[in-house]
Amino acid sequence: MLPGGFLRRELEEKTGKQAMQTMNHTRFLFLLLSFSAGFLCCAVKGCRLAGPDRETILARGEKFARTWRSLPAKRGRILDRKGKVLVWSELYCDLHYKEAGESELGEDEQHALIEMFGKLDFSVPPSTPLRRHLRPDEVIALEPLLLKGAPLQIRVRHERVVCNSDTVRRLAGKVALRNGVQCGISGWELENELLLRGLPGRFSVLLDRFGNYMPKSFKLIAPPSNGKDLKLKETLEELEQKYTEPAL
Amino acid sequence: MKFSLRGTIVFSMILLSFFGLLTIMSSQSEAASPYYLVIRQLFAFVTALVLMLLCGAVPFSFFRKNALLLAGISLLAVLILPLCGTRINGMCGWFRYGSFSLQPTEIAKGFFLLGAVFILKHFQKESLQYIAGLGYTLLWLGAILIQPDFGTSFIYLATFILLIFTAGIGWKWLLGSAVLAGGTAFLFIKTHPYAQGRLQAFLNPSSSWHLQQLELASARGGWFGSKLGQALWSNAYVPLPYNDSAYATLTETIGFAGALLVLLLFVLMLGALSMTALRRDLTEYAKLFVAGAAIIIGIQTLLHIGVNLSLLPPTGLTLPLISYGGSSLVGCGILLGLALSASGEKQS
Repeated sequence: MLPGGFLRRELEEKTGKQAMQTMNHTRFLFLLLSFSAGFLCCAVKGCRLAGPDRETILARGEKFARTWRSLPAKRGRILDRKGKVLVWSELYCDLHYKEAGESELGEDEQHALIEMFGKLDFSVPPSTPLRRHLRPDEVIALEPLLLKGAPLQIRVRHERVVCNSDTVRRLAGKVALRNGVQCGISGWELENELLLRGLPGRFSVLLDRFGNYMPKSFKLIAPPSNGKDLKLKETLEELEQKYTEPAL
Repeated sequence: MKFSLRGTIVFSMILLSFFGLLTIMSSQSEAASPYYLVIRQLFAFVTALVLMLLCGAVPFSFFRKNALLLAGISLLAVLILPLCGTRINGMCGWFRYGSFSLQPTEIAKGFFLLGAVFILKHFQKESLQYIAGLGYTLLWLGAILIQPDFGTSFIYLATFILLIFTAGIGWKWLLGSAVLAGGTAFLFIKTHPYAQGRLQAFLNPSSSWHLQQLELASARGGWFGSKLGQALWSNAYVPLPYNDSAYATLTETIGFAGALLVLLLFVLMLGALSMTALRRDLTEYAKLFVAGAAIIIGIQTLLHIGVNLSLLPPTGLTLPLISYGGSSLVGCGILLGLALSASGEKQS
C-alpha cells in the first residue's frame, strides 16, 4: 500500500467524485475498434503498394537508382604463324578515390587501408590510382570497407601486354583508351583496328546510397562481343630475322 | 478457455519473433557479417521466452504487492542512465558492458504499467487518481526525456492517457490530458526543427527521401516478396532496415501476403489480450493491467507500421517482437509474461 493512508483518506473526503471501480468495457471496446480501424488502414495501404500503385513507385525507384554502363570488350590477340601469342590483353583492378579524394577519407578507413596494403600515398589526385594491380584476395578484403560507404572505388582496366621481344613491341604499336575502349593508335594495332577491336556490351545495375553496385540487380542488356585474333603470316623467329638483321 | 487465450499469446509471440529473425536476416544479406545480428537476436528471443514463461508462472499477487517497488527500481535504472549510461546516436539510453548492452526504458515498460495501474486502483477519487497517475507518468517522462528518447516517451504518455480512458476516468480529465498532450506536442514541434521537417515531409511525401524509400521497399515486395537475400532496397537505401524500418524490410522480403500474416498475428495477440481483459472472473487490477499491455503493444505496432507505409510522419519507433534489439524483445517478453500472470488472478 502507499504510505500516508491518513492523508489519502483526508484528501479523498475533501475532493472530487468517486472514481469508477470497474474497467470501462465500452471504452475499451471503442479503443479496440480504433486499433482495428488502424490495422485495416495499414492493410489497405499495403495492398495498394503491392498492387495498383506498385508500377508507378517502382518506375520512380528505377529512375532514382538504376544506372547504365558499358561492358568493355576484350581486344583480340596477335599471334604468329605457329599460334604463339605475341600481344594480348590482361585485366587489372585498381583502387581509386571516388571523387573528392583524400579529404573524404576517414581516419579509420585510412588505418584499415594501411593494415591491408602497408604504406600508401593518400595525397594522390582522384585520377591516379591509390593502389594498382589489386589481387583477387585484396578485392575481397576491400569489399566490407566499400559497403560501409568509404569514398573509394575499384576500377577495372584492360592492359595490353607484349611478349618479351623488342621487335614485336616496335611493330605491334600502341593502344590508347577512348571512352573506356582500347583503340589502336600505331603499328599492327592501328592497321588491324577493325579486326582487333570488339564491340562493348551494355548493362544496367542499381546503385546503393554510397554509389556501389548492387550485384543482385545486375541486368545484362547486350553482351560484349570480343575482338578477333590477328594471325600473322610469319613466326616470331622469322619476324626477328626479318626486322633485326637489316638493322644490324 | 483460459488455456487457449494464454496459448494464443505465447504462440503469436513465438511466431512474431520468428518473423523478426527473418527480417533481420533479410536486412543483413549484403552485410559483411550477415548472421551477427541474427545470432544476437536469437539469444535475446530465448531470454525473452524464458522470462515470459517465468513471469507467467509467478502468481500475479506477487507483482501486485510489489508493483511500486518494481516500478521504483526500474525508474531508478532509467534515472541513473545520464550518469553511467552509454551514448549511442546522440541518446544516452544504454548500459554497456563489452558487447552486451541494455536499454532500461524498453525493459521497464511492463513495470511502468504495473505501477500506473497500482496508482489508478489505489485511489478512490477520480481527481486523486488522475493527479497521482499524471505525476507518476511525468516522473517517468522526465527521466526518459533527459536521454533524450522522444519516441519512447511518447509511448509512455500515450499509454497513460489511453489507460485512464479505459479505466473510466471522467471526460474533463481526459479533455485536460488531450489539451496537455496537444500543447506539449505543439511546443515540441515548434522548438525542434527536425520534428518540423518530419511533419512537412509527411504532408508532402514526394519531397521526403525517407518516406519514398520506405514506399519503394514495400512496393518492391509486391504480393509475394522478393525472397530472402533479395531485399535489395532494404539493404541499400532504407534507413535502419532491421530496426525503425523493420516492417518495410519484411514487406520487401515476404511481400504483402506475408506482411498481412504478420498483421493478423498482431491482431490475434491483441485479440487474446483484449478477451483476457474483458473476462468477468478476473480482478479489476488484473483486467486493467492486461488492457494496458494490449494498449502498449497495439499503439507501438500501429505507429511503426503506419510510418513504414507512409501513413504517419517518421517517429523512430521499433516494431514490438520484430525489430532488432534485445532489450525491446526482452521487454515485450516481460510485459506479456506479466499479462499471462494477470490472466490467472481470479476474483475471490
